[in-house]
Amino acid sequence: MNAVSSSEVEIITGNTARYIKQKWVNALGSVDPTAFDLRANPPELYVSFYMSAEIESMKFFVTSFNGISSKFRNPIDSGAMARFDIKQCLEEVNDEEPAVIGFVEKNLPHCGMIYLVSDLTRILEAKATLAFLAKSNLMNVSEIMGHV
Amino acid sequence: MSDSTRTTYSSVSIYSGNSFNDNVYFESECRYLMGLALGAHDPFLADFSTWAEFADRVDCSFAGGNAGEGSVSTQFINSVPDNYKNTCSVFLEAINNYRHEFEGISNARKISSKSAKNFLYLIPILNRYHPQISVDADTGYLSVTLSGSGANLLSALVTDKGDVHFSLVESGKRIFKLSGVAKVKDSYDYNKVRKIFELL
Repeated sequence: MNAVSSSEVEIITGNTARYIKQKWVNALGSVDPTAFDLRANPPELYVSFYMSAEIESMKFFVTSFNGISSKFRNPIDSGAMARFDIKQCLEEVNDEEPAVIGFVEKNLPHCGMIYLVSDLTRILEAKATLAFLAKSNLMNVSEIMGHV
Repeated sequence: MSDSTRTTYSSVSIYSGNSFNDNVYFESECRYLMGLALGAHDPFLADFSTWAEFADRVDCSFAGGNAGEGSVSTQFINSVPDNYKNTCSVFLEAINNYRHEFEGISNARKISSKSAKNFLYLIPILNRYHPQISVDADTGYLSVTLSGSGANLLSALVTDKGDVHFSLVESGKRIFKLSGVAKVKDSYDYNKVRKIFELL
């Protein structure tokens, strides 16, 4: 497992976005917790997020969408973007010791969420909590593209 | 449930080319008889024991070993009872999607065949819901998420050892969470895991 090392800059406030693939969203708008897995392409050490200082909701999603889609080989035309308040994520997920997640700078505005423990139940709970938070701050890519 | 109405299953494999292990036959018969006795009081247990007898015979080992290799056998889906076909299709789709996503990536986490096998015993329970089934890319274990009528959700992860880690998250005055692990040492006891899903 990772830890926030002295060489990494920890982020504790701000708003950040994650691209949620279509297969991770069901018809009711619920997000699959596997959206917060460490993928293996190549083996990831963190879950990618994109920071934005935009306050207004649509501006936030458009800025984040543009930033994230510029990193993709193929255009993003499906799925959704989820908005997270980092302070809220840390408070709701890290509600016991030791902390389960942390956010660190990864060449801003790109940032990474790292897992700090290896306990399966706690990681599952963290992912479920993030999926729960995502549901209330989710916008479909099709809707965002209408404002790009 | 009379013996004349009993459904019998033939050998099946999730993946083409895998062999079927008949050594579980005696154990399956015991499960069936146990289910018959218990089913008099709880129809779910009768259904579960019939399903467990079938699941005992399913080979979940994955040909090739690496993600992205092998192909799903239609034999499996053709063998399951009609009322479980939809849920089993979701189960197979999750496996196929994962294998497709990581096709050709040699360092991808392999799907745990033991987890897949253990997960299979949950089908009669999940059949009551609309499950989102996935392969957890961190571990290769099968996971399922159920969404409730409100903003609540329940997620469960089945390990190769048989444990079921679960987490319920729902809105209260703050976010309410209930998490834990069910330790299942015999596959027949997966019928008790329904208590977890009833939390939703």
